[in-house]
Amino acid sequence: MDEFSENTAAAPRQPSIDADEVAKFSAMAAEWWDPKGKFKPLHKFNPVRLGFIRDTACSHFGLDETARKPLEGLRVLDIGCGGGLVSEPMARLGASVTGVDASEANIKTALTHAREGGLEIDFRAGTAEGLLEAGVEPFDIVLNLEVVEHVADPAQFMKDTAALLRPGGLMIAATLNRTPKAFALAIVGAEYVLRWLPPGTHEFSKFLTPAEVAAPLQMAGLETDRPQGVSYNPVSDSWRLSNDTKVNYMLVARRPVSPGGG
Amino acid sequence: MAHLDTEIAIVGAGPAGASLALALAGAGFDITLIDARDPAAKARPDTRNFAVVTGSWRLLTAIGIAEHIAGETQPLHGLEAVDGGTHWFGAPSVLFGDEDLIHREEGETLGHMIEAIVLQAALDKAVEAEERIKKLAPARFSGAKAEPGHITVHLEDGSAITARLLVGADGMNSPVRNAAGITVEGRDYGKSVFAANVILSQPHEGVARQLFTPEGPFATLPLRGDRANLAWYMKRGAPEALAKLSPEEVEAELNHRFAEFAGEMKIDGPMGSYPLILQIAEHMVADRVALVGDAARRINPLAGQGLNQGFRDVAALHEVLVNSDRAGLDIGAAQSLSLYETARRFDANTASLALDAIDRLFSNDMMMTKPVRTLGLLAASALSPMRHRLAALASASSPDLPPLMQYRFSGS
Repeated sequence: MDEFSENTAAAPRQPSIDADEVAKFSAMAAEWWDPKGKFKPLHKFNPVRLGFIRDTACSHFGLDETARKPLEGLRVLDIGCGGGLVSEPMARLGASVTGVDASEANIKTALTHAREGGLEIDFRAGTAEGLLEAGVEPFDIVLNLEVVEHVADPAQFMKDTAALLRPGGLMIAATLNRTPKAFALAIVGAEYVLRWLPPGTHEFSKFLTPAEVAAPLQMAGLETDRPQGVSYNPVSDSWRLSNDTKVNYMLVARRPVSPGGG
Repeated sequence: MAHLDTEIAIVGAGPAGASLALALAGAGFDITLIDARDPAAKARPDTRNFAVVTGSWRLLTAIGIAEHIAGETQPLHGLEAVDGGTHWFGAPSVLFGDEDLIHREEGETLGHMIEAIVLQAALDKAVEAEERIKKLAPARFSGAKAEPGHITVHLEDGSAITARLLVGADGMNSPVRNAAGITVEGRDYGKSVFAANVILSQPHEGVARQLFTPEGPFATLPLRGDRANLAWYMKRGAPEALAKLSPEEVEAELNHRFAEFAGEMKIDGPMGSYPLILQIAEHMVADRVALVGDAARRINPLAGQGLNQGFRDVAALHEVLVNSDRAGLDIGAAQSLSLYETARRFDANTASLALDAIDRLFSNDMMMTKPVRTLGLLAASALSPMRHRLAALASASSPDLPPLMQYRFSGS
C-alpha cells in the first residue's frame, strides 16, 4: 500500500485531485460511521443504493439472488470509497473489494472500521488514474458513487474509471443532476435548510446531467442504460428508487465482451 | 475481530425467542440460543392459553410450527361483545366473524386458541431440529459488553460468546435489558383479573365472548371440547380473594352472575389472579442489543396479547435484519437496529393506549363506542370507529405487516 501511495504521489497528471475537496472530507472522516452524525443522510440513502447495486449485479452476472453472499468471486472497485460505507457491504456480500479514496484520513477511518468488523478490504489512498498507472487488473464491477461531482475533470475521471472495467463488467455511477430542482433540494434544502450536510459540501456548477456522465463512458466503449432516479420522501424520511432523475440518479454502464460487439 | 462465535445470540427460548431463532435460521443466519430451562427436566406445569391472532398464526405457519399444532388448537371464529349496563340480558351486541378479516386468505380464521405448553413443545422440537441454531441449555446470561464490530455475551458458567447482535427475549425481568442499561416505565392500573379454565354447558362454536358490567369486563375464550378460558376483571383485591375460594364456591359465584350470559360453568383445573399492569421498556434497542416480547413490554394478562405483541416484535426484527443483511449492512449496527425501534414504537404506544382505555372503561358506562370495548381488551390495539379496521387490528391482518405476517411468505 505504501508503494502504491508513493506511485500516486509521483503521478504526473492528477485530474481527480482537487485539494480543497480533499481537505473538506478529511475533516469529516472521523464521523463517517456515526449514523446520527454528519453522514446521517448517506446512511439513510445507503440501503436503497446497496439494494440497487445488489439487484443490478445479480441480474447482470446471472447470480443467485437468494444467496447471502451472491457477489462471491467478483472483484469490485469502490472509487471514492470515503469511510467504506459501500465497500464494507460489498465485502459482506462476498466480493473482493478494493476501496480507493484520495483522502488518507478517509482510508485510515475505513481500514480501522473494517478491521473492527472482521472484514478484509484492500483500502488504498489514491486515485483512478493512479490505479491505471499502477497497472491493476481491470475489475468485474466498478462503483463510481457520489464522487464525480467532486472531481476537477469529470470527463477524464469517467474515462479513467471506465478503463478500470473488464470486458463484460458492470459500472454503476451515482451523482446529482444539474437541474433547478437539484439546486433547491441538494444545496438549499440539504445543506442550508435541513443542515444534513455542512454548507459548501456541494458546488452546484459541478453537478452533471446523465448525458454528461454517459458521454465519456460511451466514448470509452461502454454501453449505458437509462438513468435510474432516487427520491427522498420527507414524510416517511426514507429514500426509494423512482422515475425522477432530476436530483439524485444512478447510471448503469456495461463494457461489451468484445469491442464493437454486444 | 475477525471471527465471531455466532451471528446472533438470543437469550430466552420462550415463544418470542424460539420463534425468532427459527425465523432467522430460516433466513440463513447462524444463531446461538441461550435458555435457562434444563431440556432434561420435566416441563413446568403451565395452564395458560394463548389467543393467537391471524398475523401471529401466519408467522407460526412461516416458521413451520402451525402444521404441527393445527390439530391441537381451537379455531377462533368470532368475537362477540355484549353491553351489560344495568340489565344486560338481551342487550345489544356486536359480533365480528372470520369474514370481517380484511385481506383474508381462504380458510383463515380470526385466530386460534392454544395451550402454552403445546406451543412451547412444538417450538422446542423445531429448534432442536434446526441445524443453524446452537442451543445452550441450561445456561444463564450474566452480562454483555458491546465493542466495535461485535458484542461479547457472558454466561454464569464463566464462558463467553461473541456475536454481531444480542437479542433479549428473556421475559419481563429481562437480565439482557438490565445489562444494556435500558430502563422501563411501568403503570399499575389497580385492577386484577381472575382467570380459570371452565367446562361450559353449551357449545361455544369457536366464539370469544365478552360481557361488560359496571364492575368490569367478563370474558370467555373458547378452548377445545366446549371448554373455555375465562377472565374476569375487577378492582384489585377481588380477583385475589376469589382465587382463594374453593372451586365449588367460585362456581356458585360465577353461575349466579353470569349463567345467563355464558351458561352453567364448571371449574376445570387451577384458578389464579393476576394484577393488570403495564411495563414498557424506554427503548427497544441499545448498542448491539435488541429486545423482543415481554422484555420489551409486559401487558398482563390479556388473553395472550403479550404473546401476539411479541410475535410482532419477532416479525419486525426479522424483516429489518434480513433487509440489512441483503444490503450487506452490519445487522447489529445502529443503522439497522434503529429501523426496528421505529417499526415497533407505534405498537408499543397503541398497547399503552389500549390499556389506558381499558382503565377508562371500568368507570364509564356512557360510551358511544361500547362495542369497541371488547376489542380494546382482546386486541390491545388502537380504538377506532371503523369496523373493518378494528377487525384487522384485532387479528393483526392489516396489509402493512412484515413479511412473516403476510400469508404469502416467500421465506427470504
